[in-house]
Amino acid sequence: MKTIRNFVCILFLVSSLNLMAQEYSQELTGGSDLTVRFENVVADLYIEGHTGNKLTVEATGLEPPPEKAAGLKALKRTGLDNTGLALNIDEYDHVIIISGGSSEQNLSYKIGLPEKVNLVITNTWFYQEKNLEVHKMKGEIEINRQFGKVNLFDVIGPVVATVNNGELNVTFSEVNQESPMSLISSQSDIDITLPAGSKATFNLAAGNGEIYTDLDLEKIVEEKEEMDLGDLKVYSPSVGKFINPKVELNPDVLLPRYHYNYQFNKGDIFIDTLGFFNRALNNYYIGNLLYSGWFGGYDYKGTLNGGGVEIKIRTQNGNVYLRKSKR
Amino acid sequence: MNCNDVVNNLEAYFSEMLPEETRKAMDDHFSSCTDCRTKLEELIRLEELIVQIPFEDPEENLKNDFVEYIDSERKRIMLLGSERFYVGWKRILSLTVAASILFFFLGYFGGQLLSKPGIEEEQIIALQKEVRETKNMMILSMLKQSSASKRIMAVNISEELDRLEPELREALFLSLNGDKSENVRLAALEALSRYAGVPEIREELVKSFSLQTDPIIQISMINMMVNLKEKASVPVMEKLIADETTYESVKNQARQGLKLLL
Repeated sequence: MKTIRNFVCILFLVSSLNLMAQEYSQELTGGSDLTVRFENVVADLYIEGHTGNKLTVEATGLEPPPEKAAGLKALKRTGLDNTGLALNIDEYDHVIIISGGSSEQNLSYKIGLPEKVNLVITNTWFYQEKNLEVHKMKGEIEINRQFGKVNLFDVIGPVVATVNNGELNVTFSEVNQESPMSLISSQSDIDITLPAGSKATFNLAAGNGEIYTDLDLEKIVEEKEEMDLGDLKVYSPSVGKFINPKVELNPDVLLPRYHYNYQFNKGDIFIDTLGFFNRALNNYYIGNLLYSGWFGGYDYKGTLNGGGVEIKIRTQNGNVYLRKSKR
Repeated sequence: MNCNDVVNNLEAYFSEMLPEETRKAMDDHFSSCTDCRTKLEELIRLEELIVQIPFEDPEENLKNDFVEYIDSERKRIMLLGSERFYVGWKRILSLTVAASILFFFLGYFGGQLLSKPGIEEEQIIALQKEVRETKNMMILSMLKQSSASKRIMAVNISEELDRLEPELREALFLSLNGDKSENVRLAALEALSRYAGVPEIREELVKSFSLQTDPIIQISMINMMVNLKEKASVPVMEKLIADETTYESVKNQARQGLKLLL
């Protein structure tokens, strides 16, 4: 009986040792200047930020290599498996690159990272439908994936993400005002939640879908300054500041090059690059008068709480959801 | 007379220094060739503008100095002339050049001294130029950053500029065609589309259209081309529709686009 109990104890110890072997950890030096790049890691990823400075990896569902591979190491996209977890982790000039994983069905990694580091997660292989979850990261997050669900919780951004098929859900704990954000998808919904008091300027487009929100957005009315060009009406949202109201424009004289090429219609929008101008005469020479009716084609441009960092959201065949956070 | 000859003779034509025959031939050419006519018209316009630049009078004592200088030079030449009886044309030319350079500087500084309020205006222009150059440099260096968000920021700043310098244009096309991040590529497309009225940029955009493989950028390109009524994009759309690897939603958009363009 005793031997059996001992045996069970040993078995338990061995199996827990075995579990221990499924973990990996590494000290990281650096903070916001450090980028951790996941290069086509084939597995579900759960990434969580913490205040320490360790990179930890915990693998579940990892199956041992075939017997034939005894004494050999798996070769991953960026190098040999140097973690024992089917991952290669390497560092080049402030960038930690992680590649590997395996196409076994239930492999997943739980990864702990210092919250300040920047994240880049790419998976451009179209056949890999793996899911990604990121929690509490305070650095920049860049995501480029063809397939799979992407969920970001308690992040502050900037977030720059492309998820073509799957889902893109982002919950902001606050909205970092430092640099612009961009979220795009060709096939899926984009669902954003942010604190009601955040400042942001939204450019929203939902091609064949709809935009839904409970935020108090204020539509941006583009300034238009009209000028009389004889029969032509010229106005420009972005350029009003360059065009002096005193300007005298004669369409026959001042539109040399584009006069022949383009059929101007009333109400056309012109954007200038002023070829050159003669300040002494207070006269502008419009050499490169531009025509464009397409400025990125956004359905709605609006501000939240007076405007702030620019957030562009565009999906072609999904909906856009913009929500207030509930807490 | 072909376009090349005309372009070569344009300056001479403009300053009315051509023999009657050549002049007539050029007149004939202008009535048939829009390109050359445009070139001539541009030259005329440039001249008009140059004429309109106000002439700033140099300060009185500077003027006197200059007149004295010319006088002394003239005397020197006369002396030289009496010695050699012949002054080489090269010497005259170099003197003319020297005088014109001097005159330019005298006029410039004299003008500056005379018209203090004008300085402010020039400073503003200089400052605007400086701001633009600084912005250009900033954008170019920001486009090289590893952060996708910073690269988008750089592209956005380029939208604030009142014109697109060639190097910046090149950089934006580089981003549109080759940036790792689809988001940056889309931002570059949006920035460039503002200048789609410029024929060269439009041409480049059509070229770039055929290079794109991301669905969302392809769709944006289709929308833009339809909006610009750009017929040159028709073959690209037809190719997209024929390509098996194209997303179905992109194909649909292209079919719609073709209906509107054709």
